[in-house]
Amino acid sequence: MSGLTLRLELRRSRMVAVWMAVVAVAYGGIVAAMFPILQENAKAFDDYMKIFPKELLVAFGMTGSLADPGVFFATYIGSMLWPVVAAIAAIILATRPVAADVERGWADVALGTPLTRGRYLGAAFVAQALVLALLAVATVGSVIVIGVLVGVAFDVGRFAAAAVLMWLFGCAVAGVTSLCGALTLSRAIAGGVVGGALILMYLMNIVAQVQVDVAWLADLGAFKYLATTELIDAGVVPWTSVSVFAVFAIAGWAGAIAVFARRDLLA
Amino acid sequence: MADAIELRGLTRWYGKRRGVLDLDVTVREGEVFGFLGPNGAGKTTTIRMLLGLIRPSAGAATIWGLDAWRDAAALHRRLAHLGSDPGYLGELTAAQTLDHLGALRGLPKGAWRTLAERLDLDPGVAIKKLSRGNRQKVGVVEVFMGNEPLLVMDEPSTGLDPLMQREFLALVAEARSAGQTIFLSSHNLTEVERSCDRVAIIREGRLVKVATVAALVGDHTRSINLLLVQPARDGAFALPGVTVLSSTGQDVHLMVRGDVNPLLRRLAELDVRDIAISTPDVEDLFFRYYDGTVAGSEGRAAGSDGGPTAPDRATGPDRATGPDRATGPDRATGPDRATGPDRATGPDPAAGPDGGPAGLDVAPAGLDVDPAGLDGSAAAGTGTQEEVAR
Repeated sequence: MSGLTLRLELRRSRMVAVWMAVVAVAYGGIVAAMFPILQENAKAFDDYMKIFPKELLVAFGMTGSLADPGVFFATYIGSMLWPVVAAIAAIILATRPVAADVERGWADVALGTPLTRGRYLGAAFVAQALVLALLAVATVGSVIVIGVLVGVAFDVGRFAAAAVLMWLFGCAVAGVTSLCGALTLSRAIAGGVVGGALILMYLMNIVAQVQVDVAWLADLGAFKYLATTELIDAGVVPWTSVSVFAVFAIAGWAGAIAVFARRDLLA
Repeated sequence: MADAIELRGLTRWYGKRRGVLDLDVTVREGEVFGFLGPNGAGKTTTIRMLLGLIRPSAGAATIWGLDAWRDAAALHRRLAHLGSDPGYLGELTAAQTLDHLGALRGLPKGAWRTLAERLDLDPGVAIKKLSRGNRQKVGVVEVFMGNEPLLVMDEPSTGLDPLMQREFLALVAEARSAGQTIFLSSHNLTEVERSCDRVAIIREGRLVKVATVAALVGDHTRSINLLLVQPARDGAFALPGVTVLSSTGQDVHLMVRGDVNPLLRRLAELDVRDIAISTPDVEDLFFRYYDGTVAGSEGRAAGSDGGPTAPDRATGPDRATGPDRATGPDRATGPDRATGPDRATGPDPAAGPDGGPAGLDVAPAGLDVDPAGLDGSAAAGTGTQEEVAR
């Protein structure tokens, strides 16, 4: 990895990091501010939720009362905010060095120096991981901080563990996107493929919850593994999810380096 | 003098689309080597292979004996590169860009400052706000700010105004004086004339000539555009050393090499409305050497003198693919390259009045070896492979 290139990548990631963090903090803060209301009116909300099909609620992470911290977090953050924030950030960042920079010619300029392709990409991957970590911390941190301000004592340790799982999910998306970028050298194609696959997996997860006879569909997608309820409520670390995301992240990035090292740089 | 760059049978295909075909070129250390050709000829493809950005489909590109693809990072410690339209990051200023790239090359911060002042470049402006010419200045500063022994440039002066072009040429001259080797592509003959020791012409992916600049342009070669009051009669310009590049009756484009007096006498007989005389540009040279139209016109001119006909000279199948061209031992060194009977079926093309079109040095089998047209070694029968037209 090249320190100079990492610095440049982080600099180039500022806008994505700042604006996505603003979105995450704003949304996370607002829903955290609502949590005392959900607790105070838990029975009314639970009664209201009963008008929806149970399977549909389960599909969106609502496996119990919204006054439960784990269910609350999974519903508003794990199943809604984070997949969107992580996917957008990961796709933007991961299509940049291997696809966008080849298209615009920056890769030619940078790789016209003694910088190797591996060090060039390594720096970009570290930058992706750091930005995604920042976003995960901003998202979970905003919930915890606003929770404190409105008098709710969320379990910081378990929420931090949830942030790690969320970060790994983002890294997995970034890794796979990087690999797609190295294979296609096209930002549009790589971003489209990964974005489309994420939407498809999200739908598959919903269908799998609603329709029991195709429950196996959930196993094919990423969102089954982005399950934070049990982690927050019971403190059970989902090692399978951690392993799956870590493997996809590392394999994606390693694959991207291997492919990029052999690719002709042709936009 | 050792070889800095060696291209051997370098070929690149993009699927079914041609990149470059079977290039053989050697660039010696300390020389300024020009790579001339029109857009799409394969110049950038060649440079990208030299930089290890793309792989050859066949053949090899080596720099100081190291493979340009496999050893790219190691080679880039000893070379600097300027692309034809460098994809600098718009959000960075010129100073930040140059500092970053300089740091990657191990240069101290601000190594670009003197050059930026010399080229009148404002380093504090974001790249995206710079004009095309100013962006190119950033590239020129980038390539010259270190002291790498090899500089590779792809159409480096594109977008520069005349003053900056002159400054660029001065920088090239200084680099040459300092012993740096320069490989630059261009379609600007003037730039190449003023800066290069030797030149390769590439057209449609094939190397068509390697020669010294003086030999390429010819000491007395001129491009002449005539506007006649009345169309000239057929064969009016079938004169020694005169090539008709194009003619639409009253509008005639000629190439003249050697003694201009026969042409001047002929013009005196004609009613000339306007005349423009200039050194030939690359396109003129392409026409002169390789275009079927020109060969045809010369063929007609030569035909009356028993010279080779157009199809033989320019478009015969041997020209592109004849095995004797690619591998035959007499391709590089045999005396028959210059004088042998199988080189040309007519009189010596360079021989002048009795020999037909003196300005044309294309042989029937594609060997355009011109005793006067190549650097001395070829004329002496010791030319290397790259000096043979493809």
